[in-house]
Amino acid sequence: MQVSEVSNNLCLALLVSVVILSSSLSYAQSTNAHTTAIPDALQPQFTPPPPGTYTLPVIDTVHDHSLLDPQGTRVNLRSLTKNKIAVISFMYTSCADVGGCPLAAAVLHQLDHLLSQRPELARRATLLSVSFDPERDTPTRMAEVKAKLTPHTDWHFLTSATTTELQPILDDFNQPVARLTKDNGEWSGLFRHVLKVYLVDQHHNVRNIYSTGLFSAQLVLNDIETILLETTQKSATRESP
Amino acid sequence: MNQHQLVWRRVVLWSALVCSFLAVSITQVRADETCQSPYLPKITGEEDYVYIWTLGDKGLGDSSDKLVTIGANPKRPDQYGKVLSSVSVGGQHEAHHGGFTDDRRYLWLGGLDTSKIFVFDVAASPAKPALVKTIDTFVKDSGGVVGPHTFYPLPGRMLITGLSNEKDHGGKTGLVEYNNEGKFIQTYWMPEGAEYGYDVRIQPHLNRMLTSSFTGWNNYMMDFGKMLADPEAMKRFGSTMVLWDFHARKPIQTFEVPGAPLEIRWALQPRHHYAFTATALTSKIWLINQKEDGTFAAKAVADIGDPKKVPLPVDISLSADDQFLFVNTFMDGTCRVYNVADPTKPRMIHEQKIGAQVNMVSQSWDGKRVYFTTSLLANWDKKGEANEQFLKAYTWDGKALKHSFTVDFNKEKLGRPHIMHFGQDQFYKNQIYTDNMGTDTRRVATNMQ
Repeated sequence: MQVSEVSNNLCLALLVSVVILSSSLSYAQSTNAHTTAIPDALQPQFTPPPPGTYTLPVIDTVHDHSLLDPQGTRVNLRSLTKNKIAVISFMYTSCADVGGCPLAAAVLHQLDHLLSQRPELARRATLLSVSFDPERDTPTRMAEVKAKLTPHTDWHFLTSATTTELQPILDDFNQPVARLTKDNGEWSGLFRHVLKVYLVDQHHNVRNIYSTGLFSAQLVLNDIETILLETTQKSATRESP
Repeated sequence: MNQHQLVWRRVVLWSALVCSFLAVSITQVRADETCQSPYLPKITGEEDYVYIWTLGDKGLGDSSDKLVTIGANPKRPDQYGKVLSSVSVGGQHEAHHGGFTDDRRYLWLGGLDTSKIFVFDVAASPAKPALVKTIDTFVKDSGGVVGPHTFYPLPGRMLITGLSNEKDHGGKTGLVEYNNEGKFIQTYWMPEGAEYGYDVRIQPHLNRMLTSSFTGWNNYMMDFGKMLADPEAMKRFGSTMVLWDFHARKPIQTFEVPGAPLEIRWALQPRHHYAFTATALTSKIWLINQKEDGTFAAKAVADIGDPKKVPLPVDISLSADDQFLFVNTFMDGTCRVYNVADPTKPRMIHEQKIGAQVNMVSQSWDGKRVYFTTSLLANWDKKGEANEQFLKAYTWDGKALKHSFTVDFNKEKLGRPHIMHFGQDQFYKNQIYTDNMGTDTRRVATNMQ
């Protein structure tokens, strides 16, 4: 086995372990997981504002894109997100920055759990983990991650066939990703990326972008509910005489 | 420590162990400037460049506002302390502050007079940034905000404070958000009773945002001597700070902080839930500290020089370890360094005259290098021989500042240097940083502070 393979597998183990440990922890903490102070700089230390008490203005609009599901089948982004609020996280499974992709996966795992307890919200939301490392994150590898995380709601694990196919997606979402090289020009196996997790409404508008610090499952859940309340209020206005 | 805390500590420890086996370690050296948005990726290792947003001075050079790039890497003697590029934007706009986008590729720079925003591409050629876009619809987009001041990157967005308004050019103002493409998102006006604006800083882990207050266009574009002699003008300064629920963008507390509280610096270490500011007209350091109940309180904790002499505190810079606060005073051209290990009792440990006037101070993340520039506002800078305009670089050893180099902006016919930001080749080449210290430790640019 090559050194790089060892590293990659360790990183995958790291990602999954962070998720499982933090999630099992959340389950132990049950309903107040979101208010528990986690003793490092990775987790927020606040109670998110209640749903519907604030607005989420449109930041940008994103387009449709073709991706690969864990079976290697082509799927369209908009077919997966149709009529749903989407939480879209760009990641790579070899990420070794505990404040980056593993944190995003952990928060999504907690969100998956919270949504599973709110079926009326779960049927109107979808989670997407999209790899920006198609060379290593093949559909098979994404299937492994999915199997280990055992999602309870509509959580998709997606990748691209090539970096060429991937780039327009990253450009559209304004997700900077850079392959970090060694002095001799060889790829180090690492990416520099700013953690960004996108909240996209039913009309393909980006309504929030989360990053380290202000990113928790309860916060995202409240934002989903805020957008759904906004939709409900709009239809109530239309129906009123 | 509860079970939750224990498990997370194990996770972090285990993560560290795993990473130590990786072919490439992510050990982080953070030598970027301090006091930036936590959403800004940091450069690692020493800075190669200092970018300086510079006011054009009528009759000096081309008279235009410009972005000046100075070489700051001592291992490159052909560049060190030298002007590497100067890119004019055409005309005088009252160049003041600016900030990088959250990917650090673009530097947005504002003009307080014309409310224009100039966007420079820094990534393509870090030694010579290029002007790629001008946003000249800020006032219209925002619904009447004038004087874009602080540029604070958020994920995918730029948060900009205003200083004034189109209606009366007074101090009532607001905050404005754009996305990284330059598309307007929203404006939120400062709350009643705290209408003035100046700086903004966010502590994301607490979901708290702080804003401070200065004065409107009528004052900041007025001749300084004339304004000082005008009692009515002197009444029109802000004396409040506002604490916001950042996620909701809603004000939740207003603090009385008399005398124009300017730059805001949140503490940078985990669990340090406080921020500092300095008041320009009353010459005090204020601490905005979280209380047991989660709310905040503002309190004056130290004098800066002799407040009766109005030394006019301007920029401040907090060291990455929250130990030292650098405070510049414009009138006496002096930098005072306070030990703020106990934030409730700042203790001055060093005082050094930088020049006839001094305004901005930027400090490297490793605390070893400190840079100063001179200009406050075109009409407020000193006149005649006292109108020194320079960038001065110093080293800091925890006790004293030692001069490294000076670039004379008058002699170079560049203008009045204001805010500084750092750049580095390796960051934009996407190379892993090597410290060249005889070890094989390799470092990557970091995601967050």
